[in-house]
Amino acid sequence: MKSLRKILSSLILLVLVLILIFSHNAVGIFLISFKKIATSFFESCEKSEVFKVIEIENNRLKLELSALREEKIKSSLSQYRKARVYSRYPFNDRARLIIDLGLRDGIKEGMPIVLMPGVILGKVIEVKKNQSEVITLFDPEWRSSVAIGLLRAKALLKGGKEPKLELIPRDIQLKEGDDVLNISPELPMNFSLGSLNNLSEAPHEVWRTADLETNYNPEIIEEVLVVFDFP
Amino acid sequence: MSVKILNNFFWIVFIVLICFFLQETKILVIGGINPNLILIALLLIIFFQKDFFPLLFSLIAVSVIFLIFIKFWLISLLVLELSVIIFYLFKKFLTGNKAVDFLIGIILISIFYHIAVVSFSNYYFSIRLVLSEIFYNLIFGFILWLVVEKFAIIYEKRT
Repeated sequence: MKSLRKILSSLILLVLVLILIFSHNAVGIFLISFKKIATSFFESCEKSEVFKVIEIENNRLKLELSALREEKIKSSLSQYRKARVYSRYPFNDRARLIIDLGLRDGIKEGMPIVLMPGVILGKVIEVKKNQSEVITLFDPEWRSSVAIGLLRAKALLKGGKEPKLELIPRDIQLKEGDDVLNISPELPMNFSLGSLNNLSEAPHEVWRTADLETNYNPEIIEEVLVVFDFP
Repeated sequence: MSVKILNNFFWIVFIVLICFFLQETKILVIGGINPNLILIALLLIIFFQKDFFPLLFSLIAVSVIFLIFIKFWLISLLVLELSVIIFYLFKKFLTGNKAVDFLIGIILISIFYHIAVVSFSNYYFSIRLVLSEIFYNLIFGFILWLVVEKFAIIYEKRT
């Protein structure tokens, strides 16, 4: 009887293992949607009336923005190719993605990855037959040159969980919310990386520093675009 | 005290798979910090199993699962596995209290892992990130320790 139970439990486990192996994407999607439902339940409990009004306004703006973006994407489809995100780096020390395009699809090392046309997320650093590894600007190894605001103050973008802008000159007037645009030659010129936030004005320092605000959560990115006609 | 199911091939693969998916889908992320479930699972196997064989099998299972689902990031995984093996060899020099040694293991391996990864690549080391991860791992690891211990007691009573 005991051995029968052992065989049965082993068989059930084998089936579960096989299900997990062959439907890992579905399991992943299920877990993420479960998390979304759980978090939305708790969030909804805390919402105040004022917050709701702001949220409605925010949603309206988001819709407008997405319509504009869709229009933009349609007009430049030949330049980009959609890729789905397989996995994210499972440990905490890096922020990298695996996408479902590889050598067979014409992906090459260094190709820029954008979240939507004009918004840089990262670049391809390793290519295999059907998959590629992407380093994002949330990775501590990320370094690139940027221009901030209308006066185009040059600065260095250092990647990380909270990307930092360093070596910002003191003599150029900047304000929070100024656009941060790429000027590194390995990525498309003037593509957006985010906006300026928390600008430090410490008088004893030669350079200023700031945070880069990105307005999206890199943990929930499921699709990206690969820029094919660059450089 | 040992948990006999941790000696079972399918159970080890199943537990490792669950940890892998929970870690990779980042469902347990709080404040941008993901607990290192693979490390916690490997340490639990070390402390609830006397032999080296279940640990060795778990390490192989983790490597195979990574090779199947992700063909990248193997160096990071190998560093983590190496840290766990080194800890296994030196754990006898610790306090002797299993639960305390388990928590010490989480701290030591997390620090060793991050220092080793920094040495492999010249990336910047965030103390805040490492401390947050250790803190989260300790809380999560302790909860799992209590669950597995309870499970082991029930299992022993039944058999």
